[in-house]
This record gives sequence, structure tokens and C-alpha cells, in this order.
Amino acid sequence: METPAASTNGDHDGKPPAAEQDGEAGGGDDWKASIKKPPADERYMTEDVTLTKGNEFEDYFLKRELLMGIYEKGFEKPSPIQEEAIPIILQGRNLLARAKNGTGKTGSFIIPVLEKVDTSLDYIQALILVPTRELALQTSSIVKEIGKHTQVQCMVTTGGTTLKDDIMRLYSPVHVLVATPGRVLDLADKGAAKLKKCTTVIMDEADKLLSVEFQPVLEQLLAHCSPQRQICLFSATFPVTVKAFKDKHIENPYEINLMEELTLKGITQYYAFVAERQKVHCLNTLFTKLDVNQSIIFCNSVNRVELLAKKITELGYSCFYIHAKMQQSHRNRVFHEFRNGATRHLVCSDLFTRGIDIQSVNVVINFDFPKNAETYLHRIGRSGRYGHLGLAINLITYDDRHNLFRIEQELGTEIQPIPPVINRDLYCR
Amino acid sequence: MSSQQLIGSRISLISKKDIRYEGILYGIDVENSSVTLQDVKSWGTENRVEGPQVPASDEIFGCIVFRGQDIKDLHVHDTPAEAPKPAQPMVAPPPGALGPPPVPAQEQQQRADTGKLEGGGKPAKYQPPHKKPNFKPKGEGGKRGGDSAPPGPSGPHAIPGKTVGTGDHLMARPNRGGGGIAVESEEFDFQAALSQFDKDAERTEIYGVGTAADAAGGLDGGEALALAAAPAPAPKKYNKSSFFDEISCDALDGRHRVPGFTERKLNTETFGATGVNTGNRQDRVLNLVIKEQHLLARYQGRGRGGYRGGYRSYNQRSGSGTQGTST
Repeated sequence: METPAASTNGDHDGKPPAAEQDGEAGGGDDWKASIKKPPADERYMTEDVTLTKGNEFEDYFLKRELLMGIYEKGFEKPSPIQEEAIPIILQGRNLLARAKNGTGKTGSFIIPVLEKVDTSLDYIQALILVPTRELALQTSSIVKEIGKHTQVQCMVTTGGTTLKDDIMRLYSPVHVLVATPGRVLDLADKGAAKLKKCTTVIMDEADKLLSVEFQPVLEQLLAHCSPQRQICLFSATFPVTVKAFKDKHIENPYEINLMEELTLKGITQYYAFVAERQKVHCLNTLFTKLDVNQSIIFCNSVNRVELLAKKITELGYSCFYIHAKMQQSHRNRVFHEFRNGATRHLVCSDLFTRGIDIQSVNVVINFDFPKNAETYLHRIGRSGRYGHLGLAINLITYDDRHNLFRIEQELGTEIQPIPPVINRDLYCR
Repeated sequence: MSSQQLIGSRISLISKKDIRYEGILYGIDVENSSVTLQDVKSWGTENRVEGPQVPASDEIFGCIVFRGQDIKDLHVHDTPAEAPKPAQPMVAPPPGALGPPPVPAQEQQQRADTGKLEGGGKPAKYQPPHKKPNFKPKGEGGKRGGDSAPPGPSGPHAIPGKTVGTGDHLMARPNRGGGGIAVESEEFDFQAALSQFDKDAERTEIYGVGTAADAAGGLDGGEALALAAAPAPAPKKYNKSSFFDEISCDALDGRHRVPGFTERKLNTETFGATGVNTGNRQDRVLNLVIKEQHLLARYQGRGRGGYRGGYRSYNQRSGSGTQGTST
């Protein structure tokens, strides 16, 4: 692993001279020696994250406390989307950013947000909106980790928790608020969350946030924020339906689109042809054939999630399940435990389709094939995180063929028939 | 099931402060909307919250009265315990108090720290994929007990078996609409199944020649011309030159709400059942308490006709029907 200190001698374009950097670091790199980095991830990585300009995090003249948090989180160098988005957000511009699943979008807005926050001011300066509660918890925990040496106070607020607790928490200073839209609007309407001076609004999984059910909430929320706010939209998918919102609310945005194609280079996609009644049998055989580190198995309904989780357990495998009709406390616990590796398989509904980042997932199984390309893309993007390798296996019935062809065509990808032997190098490297 | 029949059952109850208490149901007080447990043990927060945990306590409390409003979750264990001996006279619920006196101080402290919600503090440790510690051949004896032990690095923080969200939890619950399916013991024959599906020919039948097939590079020229009778318009492929895409998505497709009977039919085909009985079971006692309370408050004993309002409003707690979104 190349250390940041050693790499300052590199000859990358757009990089300030080494002397300047030393000046910025405040007369010596002693602080770097004290950084406790996590063990390096030695897995293979694809161009989706390695094809960079060669920037370093130090090139952005970030606060030292922030840099420490970045390195301690295990980030070594900016990914392509981080190279593009960090300077733009730091400039205060509006932004539309499009990059593939798991290529560092979250880091690309958390880092500049933490840099911009002025901790001497006791009000909410940045609002990070995400579409699901689990994603809010995940995002806020990354804000707290990267910002742990700064004095930035981050709060997370979502539905499914006690409103009163959130109101109490807002009596103490909050600089960054991570939230699902409904709850934060509730808090803003009540006057508990004061957003008038909030100048940065980040919308992660923006297209989901701007879906029909959320959009009115989003518009009301924006009305609560500072009129001079900066808005940054991030996602891997931006359907044309988002354009109307952009035209109405986002003035002169800078656009970043790093997606030459939509699918990740590291994910190999296969289909197995099955009759509906053979699906469980097929899955059982897959479990014996595949080298699953951790897997996420998608079903198309809550009932099917429970039926399948029960069936998998009957077959002798341990699994967890999660869906939107579970109590929040149970959802939180399952999410937390699965992330900690407490079980190998997680059966879920589309609740987990977006943004969920569990590095050790190397296999995604579509037990039920999704109905559209967007859902398919986000689901298979749960494996192959940060340019690593992954496998997507789709159980296809005859009735699924239309969706199969449509999704292949729209994504410009080919889902191949499952071979008799699946090469481990495709997803275990 | 009437509330009286549950008396004597072993119950796990999670308080609003995420502490789990386990004990034997002693009684349900409809008027005060409270539940009394006997021989109660506190299991602490069991990692349901982030930050400092309230540990389990070894002490067994004789009798504890829980107010309905302070109960977050309630689960009836399957094996009914021995009929409880009315060991002690019931303690009258002290106003505003919940639970055993020994823990509240810790709980309060924990509550103050609401900024820290749980959510995967540490990045998951990558487990080398070469290890397959958890694969058990089908049919191995005692699989359930053994397999509920977590394979991963989580160690002591694992979810104890039979909590909501684990497969084991569902094992205790009967299926709806059937008993399930048997799974054949021999391997599924992937290659034989694939041979039943001529992907290229099927695609040509739908889109005709020279559209989708070409893009995916699969079709051999004129071989399927005859099938191209009524080709559908080929879907548009993503093109980077426009920032916005036109791939199929929820926003354009609308919601795919499958009618109930269609799903039940499909589920029966896949699983031999239409669903797992979960919903009401865990909350059964709580539901009864709340239902009956509503009955008393609103309808003053006019009979069961008044149930619906209260029951439904209670059920809304478990979330809106939409998947993948939350407020």
C-alpha cells in the first residue's frame, strides 16, 4: 500500500508542488505517523474505481482533522467520482453527479460537507437526505467516523423512532443532519429543526428521493432551507422524470457523469432458467456450488421474503431477513448484525436495493427477477462494492423473459446462462 | 385466542428503552392497559442500541407490571410454561413507573444519547471468501440448533436465535395457506433446465431480428425470421450523451402492485404456502390489551363491532405498505 506521505513525490497532473503541501500540513507530517489505518483491503479492484487522475486527498487543502478521519477510515486516494465532485462541492456550486454503484459517491459528498462546516456556529449547515432509514443510519455513521477528529456534530433522524427524542437532541448543537425526508420535514414544520441557515442540501439516491411519493415533501423541505442553498444530487440512475425538478429548483448545476456504461465491470451476471416451483430447489443447489462470502437474496414481496427465509432455514442454512413491514428496532438490529457478519445470507425486499454498502457481499441472487432495469442495476450493485468483484445470479422463469430482454437491452449488458462450473476468480479475488 | 389462554405462557417483552424482559404471563389488566409478568429476568439491551449497553441481570424479579404504552415489542414463546404459582401478591403499578427499579438509571443515561442511533459503526471486516465455515450438507442432524450460531466475526454480539429477523424466528410460525414444499435431495440440473429455454429465439419472437439481439451479439442472422411476426419496439439503450436516462424504472413504470390472489397463487407455486403467520402473533397480547382498551374507552362495552378502529390504528405502527421507502 502506498502511503500518502510517500506518494507526494508522484508526478500527477493538477497537483500542487510537494513543498506547498508540507506548508499546508503545518510544518511536518508527524500527524500522519499517528494515524491508525485499518488493514488494507488487498482484493482486486476494477477500473471503475482505479481510473483516476491521480489526485490525493491532501490536494484539496482539507483540515488536518478531516484528513486524519479520511485515512483512518481506510480511504487512501480519491476515487474518480471523489476527484470530480469534491472540488465542485467545496466551491459551493449546485451539482448533478452520476457514478456507478459503490464507487465512492457517499465519500464524495461527506468529505466536502465536513470541510465546509464551521463548528463555531451552532446551527444546521448541511442537510443530507436519503430515501431509507437504513441508509440514513449508514450514512450518518460514516459522517461520524470520518469526522471523528473534527468537532462537527452530526445527527441522524428518521421515521420509526420517537419524535420527542429528536426534538430534545436538537436543543444541543447540530451541524450536519442526516435524514429521511418525512421526519425532517416534520421537525422543520414544528420549528425543532431550524434549517433557515442550512446552505448545503445533499440528496443521495436523488432519483428515489424525487419519486412521486417524496417529491412534494422535498419541495417543502427546500422551502425551509436557506434561499442561497447549494443542492447536490447523487445517484447511479437519473430518469428523465428528475429533469423537471432540476429545471425548477437547481440553478445552473455542474454535471458529472462518469457512467460510460451502467453496469459495474466487476460483476458477472448469470441467469438460471427455472420453473416457479423449482426456485427453492435451484437456490439450494446454488448454495452448495457457490463460494458465498455474504449474499443478499432479493424477493419481490414481503410475504415471499418471509417464506423464503423460513425455507432457507429449514434447509439448514442460517439467514436473516429484512423488509419494510418490520418494526424499526428489528430492522436496525438485522442490518447491524448482517454487516458484522453474523450470518451469511440476507433475504430482503427492495428496501435494501439502494445504497446499502456491505463490503463483504460477493453474491447477489435475484430469487425473483426485478421488473425494471433501474431496480436490477441497484440490486446487483450490492455486490462488487468499491470496484471489487461480485456475482449476480438471476432465477428466470418463462414469464420473466420480457423483463430479461428489456433489462439487457436498456443496460447494454448481457446476462449469460449459468455455466456448469463458475470460476471462483470471477468473484472471490 | 383470548387473553386468558395466554396466561402462563413465557413472554419476552421489550421496553421502550430496548431492554428485554422475559417472564411468565401472570395477568392482563385491561382497564389499566398493563401486562404483569412473573419470575422476570432482564436480558438488558442485547445490542439493540448503539453505545453503552444495559447488561443482562442475574436477578429474578418476582412480579413486574408493565404499562402498555411502555412496551415496544412483545413475543409469546411457543412452549407454554408451567402454570404459574401465584407466588406473591400482585404489586400495584406505581404511577408512572415501569419495570424493575434496578435499571432505570442506566436507561436514562442511554436515552440521553439519542444522537447515536445504531447503524453499523465499524466497516464490515472482509472475510476471505475461501472459508466456508457455515455450509452444512442438507439433512445433517440438529442443523437448526447448530446453525443459529453466527459464523462471522461478530462473536458475542450475535442475535440470539428466534428474534425477529432471523430465519429461526420464522421456524416457530406456521405457514398460511399450506404446509410448504419438499425440496428434492439431488442437485438441480442447471444445464438441463437451460436447454429448455432458447433465449435468442425467444428474444427474436418478441423484438424481431436486428434489434435487441444484435446489441447483445447473440443472434445468428436470418435463423429466426419466421418468428418475427409482430416485433415489439426495442427498448432504448442507455446513452451517456444525455445526463438523464430512459431506462425502465419505478418512476416510469408505476408501482407493480400484484393483486393479492395473483401473489397467493404464485407463492403457493414457489413455496407451497401463501405466507408465514407473523404479523399478529408477536403482538397478540399487546393487541388484545389495546383493542380491549379501545373498546372500553369508545364503546363502553357495546360489543365487538367497535374493534376495527382501534385495532387498525394500532397496526399502522408497523409501517406503511410501501416497500423501500420510509419517512
